[in-house]
Order: sequence, then C-alpha cells, then structure tokens
Amino acid sequence: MLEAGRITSRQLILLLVSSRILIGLTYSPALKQVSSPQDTWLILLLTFPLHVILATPVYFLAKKFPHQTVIQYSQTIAGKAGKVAGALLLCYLIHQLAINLALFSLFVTSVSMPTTPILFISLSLLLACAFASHRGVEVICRLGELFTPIIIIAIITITLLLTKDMQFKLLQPVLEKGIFPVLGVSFLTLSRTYELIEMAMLFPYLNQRSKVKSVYLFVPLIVALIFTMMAISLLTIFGTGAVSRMFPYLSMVREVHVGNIIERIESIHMAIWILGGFLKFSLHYYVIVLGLGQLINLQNYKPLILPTGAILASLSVLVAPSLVELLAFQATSANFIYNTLFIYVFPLLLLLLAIIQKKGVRSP
Amino acid sequence: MKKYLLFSLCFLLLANLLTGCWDKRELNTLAIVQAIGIDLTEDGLVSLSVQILKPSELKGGGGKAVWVVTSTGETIFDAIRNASLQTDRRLFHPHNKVIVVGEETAKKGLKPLLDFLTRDAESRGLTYVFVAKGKALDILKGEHEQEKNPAQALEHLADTSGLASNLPKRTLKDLFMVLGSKTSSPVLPGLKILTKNDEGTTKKMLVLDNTAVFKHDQLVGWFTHEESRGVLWVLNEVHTGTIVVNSPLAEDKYVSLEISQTATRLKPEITENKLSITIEVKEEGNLGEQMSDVNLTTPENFSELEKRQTAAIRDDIMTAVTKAQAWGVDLFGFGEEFHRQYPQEWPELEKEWDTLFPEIEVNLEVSAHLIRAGLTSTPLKSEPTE
Repeated sequence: MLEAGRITSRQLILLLVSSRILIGLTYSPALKQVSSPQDTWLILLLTFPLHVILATPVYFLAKKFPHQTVIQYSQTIAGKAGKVAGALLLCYLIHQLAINLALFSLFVTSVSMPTTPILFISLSLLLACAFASHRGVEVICRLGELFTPIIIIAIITITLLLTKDMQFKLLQPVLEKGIFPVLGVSFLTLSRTYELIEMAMLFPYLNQRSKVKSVYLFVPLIVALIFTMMAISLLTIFGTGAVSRMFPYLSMVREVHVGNIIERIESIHMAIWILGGFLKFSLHYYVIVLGLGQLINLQNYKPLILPTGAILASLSVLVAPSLVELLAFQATSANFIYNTLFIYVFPLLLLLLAIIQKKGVRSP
Repeated sequence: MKKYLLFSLCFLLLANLLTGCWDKRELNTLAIVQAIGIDLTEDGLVSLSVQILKPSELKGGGGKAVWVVTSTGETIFDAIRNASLQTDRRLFHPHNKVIVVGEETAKKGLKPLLDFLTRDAESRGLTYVFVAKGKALDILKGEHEQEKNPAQALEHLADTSGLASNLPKRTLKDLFMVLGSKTSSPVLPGLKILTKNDEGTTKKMLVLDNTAVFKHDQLVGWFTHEESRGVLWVLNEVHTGTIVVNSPLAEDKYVSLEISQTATRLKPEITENKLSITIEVKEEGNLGEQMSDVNLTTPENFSELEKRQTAAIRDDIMTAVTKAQAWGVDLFGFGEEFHRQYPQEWPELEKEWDTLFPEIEVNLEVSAHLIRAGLTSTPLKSEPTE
C-alpha cells in the first residue's frame, strides 16, 4: 500500500470544493462562453444535477472496487490496456496541472506583481505543494479542512458587503436565447471538473466506506451553490458588462466600498486565491505522484515528487505562450472533447467493461 | 551536525525574503496621483494632466498641496510614461480620485480614452468622472477653499451634490455599465472654473456646473439643473433635495418641500407596434420652509401642496424626457427596460432604436405625499386657526 493515511468525508468534500471553485474565482470562464450572460447563474446551478448524472460511473466503480484507485482498477479491469489508459490519464492530469499553474501565475503577474518572473511564482508555489504532497494525503486533507472554510467565509463576506450595490433587475431577461445554449455551457463547465478523477483517486482512503455517496453528492452541490452566489453577485453589480473583464470577480471585489472604511479589499481576493491555489495544486500534485507510483508498482511514491515537479514547472511555461492563447485554447471545442474523454468517457468505458467481465464486488 | 546544517540553511533561505520582491515600491519613490485630466491637442495627441500629491505641504499653512504635470503622448499610457520626463517619481494611480475629461475631447468620444483606465491594474472603478467646461487642465489647476487637495474637494463635491439632486454622480464603473449598452447614453456632472477677485488676487475656484449629456460616448450638449433633476427622477437617483412651489394662500411667495423618500419604476409596453413606457414615481416629502406668513399646516393646504409638488415633479420629468427624445439620446435606459421585458421582440427593436426612441409614448404616474411639517406649526404673525 503506497498510502496508509485515512481521511474523513468532510475533509475530502472541503478539499475538492476549494479545488473546484478556484478558477471560477478569477477567470469565471462560464460567464464568457454563453450567448446570454445574464443566465450564468442558472448555468452554474444546473451543473449540480448534470454532474450527478454524468458522474455515476465513478460512483459505481468506487462501489465495485472499494479498495482501489482509478489507476489500480483500470489495470484490474483491462490489464495491459488499462495500464496504458492509466498512463494517458496521468499525462492528462499533468497537462491540466501545468495549465492551471500557468493560469495562477499569469493572474498574479497581471494583477499585483507585473515585473516578477512567472517562473519564480510558479516554482515557489510548486515547492510548497511538493512539500505538502510529500507529507501525504492526511496532511493535505487537514489543510483543506482548515483553509476551505476561510475561503468560503471570505466569498460570503464579499457578497454581503456588495448587497447594497446590487441591482437584481440586471438578471433579466431570463433565458433570452432559450434553454439549449444554457445547457450547452453547463456541459462546457462540467468538462472542466477534473476533480472527479481526483475523487476517484481518493475514495479508497475514506475512513468510512459508506460516506462515498455523501462525497459524491455534496461536492457538486456545494460547488454549484457557491458558483451561483458568485455569478449572481457579479451579474447584479456589472450586468452583462462583466463579460468584458479579464478577471470579473477581482474587478467586483474592487467595487466594495462601505462607509469609506471598508474599501480596497482586493488583497483578500489575492489571499484566498493563493490559499486556494496552494490547496488545489497540492491535491493535484499528490494525485499525480500517487497515481504514478501505483502505475509502476513502487513501494513509495516520494522519490517521484521532485522529478514530477521539474516536468510541471517547465510544462507550465510551455503551455502558455501568452494568457490570450491559453484562454483561447481552453475555449476550443477540441479542448472540450479532450476533457470529456478523460473525465467522463473513460470511467464509463471502465464500468461497462467491468460489468461485461463481471469483475469487482457485485453491487447489492 | 546535519541538524545544525539544515537549521542554518533555513535561515539562509529566510534571508531571501528580506530583499523584498521584484515589485516592491517605497512610498518616497511614488508620485501619488490624485486626479487625471484628459484633453486632446489639435493634432490629435493626448494631453494628459495629472495632479500629484505633495504630502509635505498637507500639514503646513497656505497654498495647494498638489502639483499639476502635463505631458503629451499618442495614447494615454504613452502620455503617462512620458510624464516621467518631468516627475522624478513613478506615477502611482491606485489613489486617483477623479477623472476630468475636457469638453472638446468629450465631443470626440469617450470610449477610446477609457480603455486604459479599466485595463490597467492600478486604476480603480470607484473613481469619479467629470466633464470640464473648457479644458481639463484648467480644472486641475483650480483650487478650493475648504480642502488643500482639490481632488479631494472634487470627490466630496460629487457626494454632497446629492443633497440638491440636480447633478448626477458617476463613477468609472457606472459610466462603463451605460456605455456597454448599445442603446443607452450616459450623463456626467460638469465642472467649471469660477474666477474670483479676492483682495487683489484672482482665485480660480472649482464649482459644479450643468450636466453633460452624451449620445453613446460623444458629448452632445448640456442639461440645466431642472432638466437633470428630471433625468435623475427617471433613473431613481433622487434621494433628497428641495422642490420649490408657490404658496397656495399667497401665490407670490415660495414654499420649499424637502424630498425624503422616493422610488421610481419603469413599465415598458408594446401595443400594436407602438412603444410606450409608464414612469411611476412615488415620493414622500416634508414641508421644509415657507416664505409666506400664512398657515399651511391644515389638511386642505397640505393636499393642495401635494398637488403642486406632483405637478412640479411631472414638469421636471416631462421637460427632461421631451428634450432627450428631441436629441435622440436614451439617457433613461428605456432600451434596456424593453430588452428585459420583451426579450423576443428586442433584436428587432434594437436595430431601429434610434428611430424608435423619439417616438416612445411616455406616461407619468406621480404620487407625491407630504408627511411632516418640521418644528414649526404656525408661522409668526399668522392668524391662529380656530
């Protein structure tokens, strides 16, 4: 067993939630993809039911193989082919982490430290994440338990401070272009939820097996609720003009002004962004090295940490020649298919194979 | 031994932090910008004036605590960087309070000028925007009796002008929300310089002036205070202020009514290809002052005052709406109201909005009430009521 740690369901839920909401906290991609931006809140609310439906294979696989991670049961189910698929999945995760790391450091350099080299920011963060993943899953999950409430409280506080400036009529007209564009962007938003793979990697380490269902349901629910709250505050402050902002949520935080005392609180946004970034990347980093260790049957995943970090740091510079190109790549339909293939199609195929071959624990 | 080595290595690494990061800035290397004035020169260059705070002058007596620097460039950013030929410190924008746009410059359009102010990470959306009567540079050189820092005076003026409710108050963010709409046009408060002779020395004082009216992003004219009040009624931005009417019992004397509560709702309607909009204004006020010496605090007189108050509000709104329709400027966001209410019909309406807007039938439903009468029941020398 590579990892002897045990985590509680609450820790896992909080960790996955902060990992998922991070990119929405600055780039708000869903807002920029829909033809009727005032429906963004609806898009994000709809992600909950859609996610629960689309992610069922992961849930049933966790039931069938309660003591194995996705890398392990893909080998149990498909043998050599499963090993290749697992390797591809890890490559996908490495690519995604590099993209997110680039997004992170490009934001920090655009907003607060324009002359600091990008590599310096991503390297210093990666070092901290490397240390966290060296300490194992329990440490990362406890960090999540500690920091995620801070992040959520900060978001709620910012929303409350802005309520006096909100104009709810800006949310109208609802469903101007019909329901289908809205549903479409809901799927696009879901295609970025690679936390599902991380969930599948961490299910075996839950201390109570019965809590798999609550993790599976509560993560998308809490994420959808926080996203909806953020979207409503954004739209009621800026209207559809929010689309023209590179970092809509940051621009909104800058609008906070209460009684000439509470203003210029954008440093709070930066603080939760760095805290959340640390959590997200630590978890992601850990999942990658753990998966690699399981793929090549190592006794210990720790020797893999620094080499992986070297790949990640250099890849994070290579994937993003510029912020514009990176965002354009993320909005392409090829990227949508690429994401969906690994996050939703891959578990579905595994489940079908497992059912046909009658492998795993038979569900009651 | 290994432990000690590790320990000392930690300290060495910590020492890295002491040097600060790349982006550190010391306060005494910054020129804190308080106000920006934008003019265009005759050959199309941007002439940017900035007011820089002189912190040492803030405490001592006399004089302004700011320094005005003007630089030119092909773009605003260019002009800002060119200012470094004159300032020995780097211009620092996050504390900028005011943006002033020159009159001639505003006539050529605001949008090209404002991109930098939202793109740059140092600028903020909470900055107030004004239009200068004349050149922005002259406004920036103006002074104010109360404050040593004229930009601070301007910022406070924007707030206090709400007491009269006859000038709009606009931040950069408000302006952008209106400019983001394809049909709406913004209004901005105007500023002018009042030259005053004070014991031989001429002083150039800053005062707020009429309201600048734009068509999309180009200045087309100015609204008087009464017309601006009408615009503010429709936009639901009247919060307090006075309405002056003639006294019902002594027609040549005035009575001031103080506005205390207001709410405006717009109800757009499409009937047989005809657009109409109903403006519902609910107002509550107090009897604030009377210059006649008759007793107005009777139910009959109060209801007569209410009628006159209603009529005064109607007049303000109708003049503003008629003038805006004549100029073809949708200052009230009527287009956006139709967009919200009739999303299906909107794409058609949006295309022809410029021809449709002047034809919109505007209905007014004003209900104004008087609630309180201040601390005086009957004025001096008046006949006591039986």
